[in-house]
Amino acid sequence: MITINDLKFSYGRKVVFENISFKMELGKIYGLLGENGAGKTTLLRIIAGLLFPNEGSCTALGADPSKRWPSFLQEVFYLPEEFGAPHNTRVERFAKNTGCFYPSFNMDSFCEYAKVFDVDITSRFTELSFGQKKKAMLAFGIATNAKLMLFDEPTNGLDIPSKTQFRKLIAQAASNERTFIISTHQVRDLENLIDPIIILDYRDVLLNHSIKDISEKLCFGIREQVPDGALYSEPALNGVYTVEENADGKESRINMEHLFNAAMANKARFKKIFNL
Amino acid sequence: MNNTFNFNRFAMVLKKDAQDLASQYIKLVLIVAGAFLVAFLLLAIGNPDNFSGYNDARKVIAAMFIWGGTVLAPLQLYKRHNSRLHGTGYFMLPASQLEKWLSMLLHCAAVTPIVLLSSIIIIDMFMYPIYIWENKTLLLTSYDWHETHYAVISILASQAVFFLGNIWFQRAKVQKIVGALSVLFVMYIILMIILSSITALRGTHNYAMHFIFMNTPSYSVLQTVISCIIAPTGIWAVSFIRMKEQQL
Repeated sequence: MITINDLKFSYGRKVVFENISFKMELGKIYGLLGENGAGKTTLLRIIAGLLFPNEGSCTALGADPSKRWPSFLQEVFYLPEEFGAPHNTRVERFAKNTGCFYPSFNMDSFCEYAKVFDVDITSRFTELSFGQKKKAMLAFGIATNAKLMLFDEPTNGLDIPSKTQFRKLIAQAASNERTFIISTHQVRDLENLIDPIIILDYRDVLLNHSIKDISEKLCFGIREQVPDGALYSEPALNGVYTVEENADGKESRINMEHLFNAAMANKARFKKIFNL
Repeated sequence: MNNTFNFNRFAMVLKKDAQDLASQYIKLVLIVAGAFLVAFLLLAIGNPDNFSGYNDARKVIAAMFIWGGTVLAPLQLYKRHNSRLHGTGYFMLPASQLEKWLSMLLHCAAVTPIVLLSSIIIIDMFMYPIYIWENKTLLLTSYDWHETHYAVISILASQAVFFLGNIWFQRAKVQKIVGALSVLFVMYIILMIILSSITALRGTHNYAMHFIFMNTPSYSVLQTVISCIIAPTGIWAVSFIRMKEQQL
């Protein structure tokens, strides 16, 4: 559904991606992780067609996003981390005026999602806080029923109940026909929701695997002492949290934060483990 | 699906733009109509004994403000369409680049001058009863509308420059447009000086021939065609290409 081939992108002299290639499939909720400046936002903007690759190609939903064809745009919804909300427009009016461009947009669903998020759709955007604006746009985005949803740090600025509602709505809206790509720093907000996980490193992709693959290859747990060959360890109250290679085929629950830290600390080894 | 142009989709873009720009239009009308009113009142206060030229003065003031308002309209109406923060929604709207660009052009080059002209004419109608000079006329009847086509084209030609600048630059648009125009003007002056120096050194300049050529009807037609048709059309075409290739 999304194919990235030998993609190279730079802002002037600053290279962000150098010949990266990977694929994303339909019907998944991808978690896009990476340090600041690793290129998460840039990747989302390339997929959305807002930025163009310097070399290589990016194909999404069978189209070249940089053409910005209406047939492509009506199946994509991109919510940036920070955005300028429509000036002086009522939320309901915005939804009506913009929703008509999306063939699968459902106004009733929008009203329902907005209610779940506790957003008053009769308010003007200028009257809403940043978090409320974001919730209004999230409700709108999900109601477009677009096939490809790109969310950049969607939980930033949301209060705790809204984060829970966001997770519920995404889980409810997910289907075999829709793909979500969610970039985040706050991995705990989206734990149990995102699968597969993509970890971007500067210029490169460190990981692009499903939770099942990861748990088959890595083992997460608490030990009394740091074992030899541990990929990552962190002091805990009753020992040390560890991430190790799963040599015995043990089942363990993935801790996203530890996974990310392990990947950052052992880039070469990680690529070897996951055959990248 | 037609990815280049669809009339229904274009109508939707036009309508959405009109609704999104409503407050900007109101602001623009208030500024221009207010300035017209203030300028005219200042003129009346400054010269209360001589009303003979008021009909003409009013026409000139109105034309000036409509010209200024129209030329600067792209910067007011679409100032944020290509900013990284505000422009994402505009670029991601499911419509073709041509439809978005055409809607932008129509709003700037057609709707804005009509809105400004109408609002000034309406203000003039309301003020008409209080005009105290003899032979007073309404603005609506005092223009020779058959003679205004050149003025309209020249307004659009001037606006095209700001239209392009508004699309080309993403930040500090006014400063960059003024800077670019200044650079072009200086380059033009330098080029003229060099050309004059060359012809003066060679002694080949025939002033009589030059004068005759400048006053021929064909020269006048050529000048009009270049400045009123080729230049704005070319500038609009460049603005469309620039918009297509712009990244946020």
